[in-house]
Amino acid sequence: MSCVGALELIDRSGHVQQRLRIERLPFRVGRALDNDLVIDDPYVCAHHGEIRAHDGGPLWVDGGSQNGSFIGNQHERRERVALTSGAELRIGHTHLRFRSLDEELPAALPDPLAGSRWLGLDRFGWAAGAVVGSLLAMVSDQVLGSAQALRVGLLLSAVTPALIVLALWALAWSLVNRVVAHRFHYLGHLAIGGLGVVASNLAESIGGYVGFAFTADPWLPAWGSFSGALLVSAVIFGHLRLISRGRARQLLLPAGLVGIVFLALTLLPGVGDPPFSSEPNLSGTLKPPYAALRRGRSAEQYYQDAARVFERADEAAEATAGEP
Amino acid sequence: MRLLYLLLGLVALLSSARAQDWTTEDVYTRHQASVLQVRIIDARGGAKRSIGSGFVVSDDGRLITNFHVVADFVHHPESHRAEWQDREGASGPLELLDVDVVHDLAVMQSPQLAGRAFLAVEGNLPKMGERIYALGFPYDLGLTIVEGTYNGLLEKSLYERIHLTASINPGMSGGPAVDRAGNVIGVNVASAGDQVGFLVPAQHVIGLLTRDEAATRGELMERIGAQLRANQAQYLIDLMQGEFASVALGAYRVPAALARYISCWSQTDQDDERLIDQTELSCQSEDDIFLAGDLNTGAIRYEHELRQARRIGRLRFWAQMERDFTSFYGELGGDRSKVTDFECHSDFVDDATLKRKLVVCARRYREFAGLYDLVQRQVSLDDDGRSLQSTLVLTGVDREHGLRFARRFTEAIRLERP
Repeated sequence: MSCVGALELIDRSGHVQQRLRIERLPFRVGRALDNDLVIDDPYVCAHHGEIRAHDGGPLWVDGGSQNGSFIGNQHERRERVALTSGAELRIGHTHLRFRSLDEELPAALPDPLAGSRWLGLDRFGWAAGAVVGSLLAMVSDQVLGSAQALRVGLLLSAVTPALIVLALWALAWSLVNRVVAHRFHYLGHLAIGGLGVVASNLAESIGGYVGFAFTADPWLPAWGSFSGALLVSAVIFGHLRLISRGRARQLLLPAGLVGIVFLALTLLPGVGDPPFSSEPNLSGTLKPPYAALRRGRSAEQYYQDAARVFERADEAAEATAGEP
Repeated sequence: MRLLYLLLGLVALLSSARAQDWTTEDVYTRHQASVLQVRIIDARGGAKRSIGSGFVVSDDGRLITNFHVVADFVHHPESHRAEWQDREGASGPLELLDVDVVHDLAVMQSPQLAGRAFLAVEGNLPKMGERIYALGFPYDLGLTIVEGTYNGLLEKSLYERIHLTASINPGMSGGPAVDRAGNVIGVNVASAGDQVGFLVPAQHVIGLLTRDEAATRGELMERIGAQLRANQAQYLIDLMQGEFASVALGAYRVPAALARYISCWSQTDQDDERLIDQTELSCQSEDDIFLAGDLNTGAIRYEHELRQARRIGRLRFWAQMERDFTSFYGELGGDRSKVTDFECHSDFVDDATLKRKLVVCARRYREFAGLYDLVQRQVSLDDDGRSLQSTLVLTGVDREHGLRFARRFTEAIRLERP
């Protein structure tokens, strides 16, 4: 007789451990080596049972075993079980599943990631580009921030800690990836982290220049919070996407939540507010003169507007007049 | 009140006519009962919070001391009390009648001091080099007399001060300084160390004694606020009369010493390795008004910092300028209970010669309506290879005069040669 189907040995988590084609019937199952399927389970008999040909299709027949045969997780002992495709059988502590040869298979799932650029993040080029980009961003920060003559050694030692943090960040995500999805993808996670660094520097620079050009300094903290939240969400989304390769929509929620927490931490009153200071907070932007795009006011207009700071100080004094 | 003034004047006349050239022993012996220690007691802890000196000036038990000695009692009468103690150890409570915060004086009264020997106050100033005796309780050591010489009124002072060459030490604040005739010519107020002592001229004591005293604490605080407002209006108006004195700083002209009491210093970075050429010109009034333990007021300060890129890229140069622009040096003092946070306004200002970024910040004194600290900073935006940053700090000014002065100051900063 030709092949009638296959018998699958299922492990505890439901994964197929072993699959054996049934080339001829009867097909014997047990612990003894002369069986067609040998099962190393001390609760299974030497010759536990067999699959026989029957009018209605293959039939499991228990060979008078000590511990019996069961369907799926049921508790009722069976002498015979008609095997339709997908039927599950339990002998001893072992789960078996019968798969008929004529079982209809569903069509293959469309893969949203097939040919997607996400996979491209794995490529060395992306990772290298992102690392070089973040290195440049950090170095330019250092160069702009230093009032001393430049020394390459000093610059490198200044950015090394940040690079190590970036490498560890990518490593941590890769390990999570390895545990959850059995894939490592170090370069992909490195690329995402590096792009995050580059993007946050860009956002800061853009905010600074636009804030200066249009004297929108008071909006800079809000810009920082929002762009920061957006970037954090994007980076988390990227990492999750690389791990799960699942549907993007399911990942939006956790990534968005992280962004919202970030936003809340920086914007909520009392959390981001600086404590009382006896010095004026002159934190504003100053860029080269050519970046000052807005036309200035006349001194007359300026001091009319500036009078508002006295009103605001009065309001602050009156609002908390009763407090000790 | 006028009677009292006349009485004081009379006593002054009589005593100067009567006694010529007292010796140190005479001064000590005749004044020892009239000079007292003033103690501000922390009501909860029961021990002294601050100590100073004072002297009896009238038959009805009035006593003069420094405002800064009793400031804690003025600001927090609910948690402090004031006491006098004489050199024998006798003591009694003190009540606050009035203050002259601008000249750092307070007048107090105690019924137990009525009838005690009191000192005559002399409104005229001594002659240069005249012998003067300062009395008080330095370092809580008991009544002490210090001999020194009168060196005239300070020339470079916004607030009138007598320069006395004698050791005025902590604890003597509020004690009297008397001339050879034993009349009070000033009140010990401060020291610069090394025998350089300062006195409040006695004419301000007479001014304070001839005024009606404040009835309630609210009235007293109102009066302090009014004194501070009147004072700042006066000196700001004086400063704004005529053109601002200015000096050239690189391509710019900037306000320099605007009055005798404003002193300027300048320095240029000489480091050969420097990336940026840097010259600073900083000016400030020599003195201010004590308002509370950590809050002084009534001062003016400004500085100009000219920087030119030397061996540094333009982007880097402006990154440095941004850092300097956002940092503020020079504690202004005060805490949440005394002042609000600073509120700021920032914009570009264009005038005929110069584009600049200008920030004005103000905070209010909580106890004194209409009184603010004003900080103004501007930076030139006319050339990407250099920057002139000017900061102006006015403490204890009102809105009208503060803004007018700030605007004059801004307009006095000009580009001279592009």
